[in-house]
Amino acid sequence: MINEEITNIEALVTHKNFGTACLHLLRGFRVDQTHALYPLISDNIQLFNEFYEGFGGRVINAPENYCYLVSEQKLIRTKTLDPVPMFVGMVLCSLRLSPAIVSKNYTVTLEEIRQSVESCLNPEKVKMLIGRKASRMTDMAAARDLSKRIDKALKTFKRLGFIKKIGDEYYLPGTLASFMGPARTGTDLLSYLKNHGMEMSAATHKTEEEMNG
Amino acid sequence: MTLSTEGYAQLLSSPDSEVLQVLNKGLNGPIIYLYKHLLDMDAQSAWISLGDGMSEVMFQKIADVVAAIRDADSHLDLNSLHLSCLAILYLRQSESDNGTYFSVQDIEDAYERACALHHIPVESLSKTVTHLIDRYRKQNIFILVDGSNFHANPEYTFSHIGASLGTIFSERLNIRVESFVSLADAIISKLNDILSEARSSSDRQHWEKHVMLPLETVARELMHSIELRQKSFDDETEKTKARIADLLEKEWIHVIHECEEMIGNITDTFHELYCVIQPATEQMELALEELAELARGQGFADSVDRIRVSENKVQLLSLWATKSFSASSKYYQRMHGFIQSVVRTDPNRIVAGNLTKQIAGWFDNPFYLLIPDEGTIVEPGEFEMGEAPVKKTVSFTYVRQEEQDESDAKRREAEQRRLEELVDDALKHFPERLSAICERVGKHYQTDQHYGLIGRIAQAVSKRALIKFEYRHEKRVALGCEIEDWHISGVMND
Repeated sequence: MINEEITNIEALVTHKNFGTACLHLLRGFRVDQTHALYPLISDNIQLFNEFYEGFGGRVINAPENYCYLVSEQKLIRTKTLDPVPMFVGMVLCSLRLSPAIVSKNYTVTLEEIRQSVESCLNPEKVKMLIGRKASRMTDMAAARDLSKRIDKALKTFKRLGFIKKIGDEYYLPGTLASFMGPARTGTDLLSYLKNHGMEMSAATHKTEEEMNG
Repeated sequence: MTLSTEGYAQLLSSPDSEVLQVLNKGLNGPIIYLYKHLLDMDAQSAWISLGDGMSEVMFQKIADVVAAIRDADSHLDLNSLHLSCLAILYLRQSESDNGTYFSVQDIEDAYERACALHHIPVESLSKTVTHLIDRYRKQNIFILVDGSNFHANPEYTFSHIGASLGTIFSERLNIRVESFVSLADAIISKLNDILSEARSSSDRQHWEKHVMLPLETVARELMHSIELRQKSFDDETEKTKARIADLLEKEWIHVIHECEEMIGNITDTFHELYCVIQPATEQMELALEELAELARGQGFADSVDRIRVSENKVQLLSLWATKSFSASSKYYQRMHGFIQSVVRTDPNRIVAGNLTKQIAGWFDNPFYLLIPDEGTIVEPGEFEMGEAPVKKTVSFTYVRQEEQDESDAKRREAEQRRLEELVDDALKHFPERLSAICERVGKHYQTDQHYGLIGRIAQAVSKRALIKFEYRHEKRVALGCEIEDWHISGVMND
């Protein structure tokens, strides 16, 4: 059913799974090759792009075989990841590339994730990640807060398709490559960010948390 | 208790596990090395097959030797510090003009130096050295020169075991193809001399003096020096492999060339050695075979066994060269393949390195991922065009009507049809807002018509599209006018 041949945009938008695929993409979900919607999107990516062109969006099929939507003209509403999820995402991406995790079929425990994140941080950086609230916190309180935020970030990642929970462990799929940033190509940061729907932080930058009050 | 190398080799050829247990328990150092070496080269089977033709005399000899080791509970108990001290003494002794003796002061000095190199603090030096000397003497490594034990300044010398240990652990002979060539030439030349003597030998005394004695000297001394070089070379190879592994683990990307060069050097050297050793050992084997035939012809059965020991050594050397070359060749292929296929072409390793730097520098230059967040259209998995589960909510808008002129009625009807077609066309592009439809339709009209057009577009849209109810519609400028910008959430069926 999902492999029906779709020849034009009308056939695409009337496809019974188009709505679901569209919704997944609009919600920022990374549809990887293990997902049932992946064939529909990857096989008809040109039609999807034609459809989203009017909304200033573009569907990208990444080399790691996953699809996602990028909003290029801000017509599609976007949100910026908080610093903690962004940092955790990069650490998870790094974990996925480590031989130790490869040998474990890309599965990690929550404790391993926490340890990996904390090993990249010192108390000063922890407070920088937490933000303004951290100025009144002790180091220990900041560390506890970070731990909670890591849990929250993992929930966000699960919703966005960046991780999958299998039992008590987390599977790290190829979609984490979104966090590679300029590390993948070695290009300069600004041009990479521009081409991949990312943005440099600014003083007026508002995160999801701040916007929600 | 000493045991010659050939004795060890013969013992190792025995399938009796008790013999091996005795060896493992009691004799460390060179024996374990030799045993491991044989295992590494898969030569144990070769030795066993070589031992098939062994005489009963030799088996009896082996049994006696093993029994003597077991009964005397012979063993060596030395740690690396003791061996280091021994090696220092041996090296100093070889360079000293005082002959082969050394005093307690010399031992203290050597021990102090060994401790410094091992980063171990020295405590109560004289007492420790007294215990050390006692340990060496109990294990027959040192011999007191003055046997009376009452000498005020006693002097010691190495026993045969001590000298052997000193040789093994202190001599680091650099392996060179030239040294093998010269040694092999010396052996072959000596073997030819022995062979000519053997051909002319007629009685037992002459045979012993001019054939067996020089042969055993050749076998023992020259082959021993080759064995030392073998060990040194194997050690160097192992170190090189360990260094390559270490480099690949750490700064792999900067040392690929170095690794490739090192692997190339090992393989080249092994190849040269192989080319030198193979013909040399063939010549040696031929000479020894002829010697054995001559001994057999003259009825010297024990000589045949002794010649066989030398023959075995030569075969072992040949086997070592072949196996080492083969092993180095496989290692070269494996490592070369690894470097080419994994290190050079694995982009993940480069990315991982870049990513680590990116994470470290992210706080100085942070950037964030933008995620689309249009999450309120419909529930996932149930959306189908034409059956959208969104309740129809229409807001009524009163459009100001122009005064109608009867003569213009037909023209206005045509215009209305055209407008509705344009709105239908615009709705096919799934616009999100009324303003987007206005912009698209407005392109087909003159600017001065836009003001009146907006109301008609809104009317047409309200008949065709699902308008999402909002308490207060957003104001937006479209076609130069401020409008209530409806949110279009779907298209109605005909």
